[in-house]
Formats: sequence, structure tokens, C-alpha cells
Amino acid sequence: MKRASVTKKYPSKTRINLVAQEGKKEQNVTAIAIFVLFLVALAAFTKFMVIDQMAKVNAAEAAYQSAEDQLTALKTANADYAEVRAEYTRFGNSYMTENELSLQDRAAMLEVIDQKLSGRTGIQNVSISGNVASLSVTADTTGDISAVVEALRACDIVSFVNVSVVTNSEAGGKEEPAKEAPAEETPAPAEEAPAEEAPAEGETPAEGEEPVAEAPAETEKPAPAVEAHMSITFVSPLTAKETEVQE
Amino acid sequence: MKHQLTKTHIIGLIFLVVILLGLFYYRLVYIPIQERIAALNTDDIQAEIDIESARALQIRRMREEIEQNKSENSGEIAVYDNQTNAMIELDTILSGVENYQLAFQTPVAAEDAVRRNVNITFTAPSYARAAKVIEQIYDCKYRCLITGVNLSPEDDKETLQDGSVECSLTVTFYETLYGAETKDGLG
Repeated sequence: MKRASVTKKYPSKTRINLVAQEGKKEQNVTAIAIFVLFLVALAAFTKFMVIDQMAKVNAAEAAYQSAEDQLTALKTANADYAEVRAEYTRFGNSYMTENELSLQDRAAMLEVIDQKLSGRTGIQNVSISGNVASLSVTADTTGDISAVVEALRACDIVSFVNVSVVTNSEAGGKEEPAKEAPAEETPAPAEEAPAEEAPAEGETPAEGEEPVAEAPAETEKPAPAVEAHMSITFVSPLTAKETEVQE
Repeated sequence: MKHQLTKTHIIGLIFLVVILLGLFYYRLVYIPIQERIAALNTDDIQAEIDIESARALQIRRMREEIEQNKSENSGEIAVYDNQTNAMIELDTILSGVENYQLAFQTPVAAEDAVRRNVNITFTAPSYARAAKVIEQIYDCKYRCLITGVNLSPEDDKETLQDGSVECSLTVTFYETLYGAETKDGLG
């Protein structure tokens, strides 16, 4: 057997380079610091560039779904639109113009006229056009006309009363000057004095005159002394509604 | 032979990796997210919601108006041509008065709405009866509007409260072309 003649080599280096070891440690710390920085950068990137973006998508999806649900609910609620529209053509006010909608109820106008004028005055004629009623009335005194005007002015649906002409019918149809005075001003009186001067129908004839065969006339109701023309402006229903809304 | 990477190489490699990661992120994350967000745009839906909301409001107002008109007996807007029914209705209303006359004018259409003006004259036995007739016409089952009224005593020497009353009315009857079978006779 061949004996090994190989000479064993022993390490010749007998010292340790401690300086070099310290240098590796510094490298490790640097590497760890860089790695930590990398992790921080990665976390920030993930947070702002991925997670937040995904959150935006989720929020957009939620908003879209919510809007879609809302639209579906509205469409379901409006499903009977055609049916309501058809009924509206039969019972709505869409065909009426603003002018037509602004006309006051004629029955209500006549009711007010009847309530406020009957008893104090006789109505000779009523004419209604638009929201204005023109009347010719007779009364015993101008005071009655004034009282009627005041009563009309107190009505909710009356906006204005105008007395245009007051005539003393007993004075041979002599007309008082037409003042076109608004209802707020008392219409020209001056009918009562002439009324006193002119004997009313049915009075006893003056002494010496022949008795007229009109005895039954004494029992008849005395004829009214005053005639007046007035116009009553009624409130438009549209104006009344606007007032209610404002209140 | 062992190759030693220099600092420049390492920085270059890192830069390359960052560029690649950026491209990877842009193509596989950023663009799909933006496309998805764009696809979820609610502008169109919002526009539809606005339309449907307006329609819902319109339906609510129409219903309120229908209910109000029904409760006030405002009458039905009949489908054109409703002249015969209007005549029958007026005849019923005017049955208690004397010498009535109905003068129908040619109906006029404006879009779907038809207006038929009727001049009604009659003599009522009293002012109260004339007022009642006017009220009945106002409450007629067919939608109408009394535009003109003229009341005067039959005897000029009397007042309206004393005796018979002559009455002249201008009434507009409303009809609709919605569902109408004919448009003949319209002026």
C-alpha cells in the first residue's frame, strides 16, 4: 500500500481581521435600512395606488347600484303614467287657459249679489263678464246703496266695488253727476233732499186738488227713490291661491 | 470566472426592475381600474332619474288636480263629439224654465282641446230659479265654464226679485280629442 506522502497544509493565517468583520455589519444594517425603506415605499404604493383605487371602484359600483335601484323604483312608481295621463285629459285643468282659470265661480258671484243686495235694494239688471258684475239697482235712499257697498266690500271674494251713477228717480230722472267714484268713497248723496221736496207717489194730494181715483195706491209699497249703477270686481281664484301660498 | 456586479450595474438593474413594475402596474392595474370607473359613470342614469322624478312630480300634481276636480264636481271633459250628450244634459237642467234656446257655435280645437261655445237664453219664474239653473250648469257633469251672464226682469218695470227673469248665458263646453274617433265638424 502506497503511503501517502502528501504533506498536510495548515493554515498559515494566524490572525483574524476584525476590521473587515465590522465592515460587513455596517453593510447589513444598510441593507436592512434599505429594505425597510423599500417596505415603506411598497406599503405606500399599495395603499395609494392599489387599495385606494380599488376603493374608488367599489364606491363607484355602490353609487351605480344605488342609482340603478333608484331608477328602477321610480320607473315602477311611474308605471301608471299613461293611465293617469288618460284620466287627466278627462278631469284635469290642462285645457283651460290662464284667463279661463282666473274666472270666479258664477254661482258664488250671484250668491254674494243676492245675499248682500236683497232686502235693501231691488236688482234691475245683472251682467257678468270676466270677474266684473255690472248691476243696476234701486233703493229707498242713498244710505241703502252705501250700506250695500260696505257689505259687498266685506266679502272675501270681492276685491272692489265701484258705484258709477246714482239717480234720484223721483226728481224726473235727473242724474247725479257720474263720479266714477271707487267704493271706498261714499257715493254722492243729495238724493234725500230732493226726495223730500218731491212728493212721493201715494201721498195725499194737495188741498184743493181733485181726488184722484188712486186710493188703492196708498196701500201699495212706495216706489224706490234712488237708482244706482255699480260694478263689483271679484277676486280671481288664481290670486286667492297665490295669497294662500304666500301665507 | 466570477462576475462582480458594480454599483452602477445594481442601480441600473433596480431602475429597470422599477420601470418593469411600473409598466406592469399601469397595464394590469391602473388601466383596468380606470376603465371600470368609467364604465360605472352614472351620468346617463342620473339623467333618466331626473326625467322619472319630473314625471313622478307631474303624476302627483295630476292626481291632486283630478281629486280636487272630482271633489268639486267640476265635470268630465268628454271625448269629442259630445254635443248630443251636452244637449240632453242642458235639457234636463232647463226643464223647469220656459222658452229656453240653445245656440251652439262651431266647436274650435286647440291641440287636443275642443271648445264649444253655447249661448243659452231662458226665462225663469224667479231669480232664485235662474240662479239655481246657473248653479246646475256650473256643476254640469260635462266640463263647462260660464263666461257671460245677463239677468234682467221679464217686465222692465220690475226688479229681479219681483217676478220672471230673463237670463242669457255664454257657456263654453270643453271636449278632448284624446281618444276621439273623428275630428269632423271642427272649426
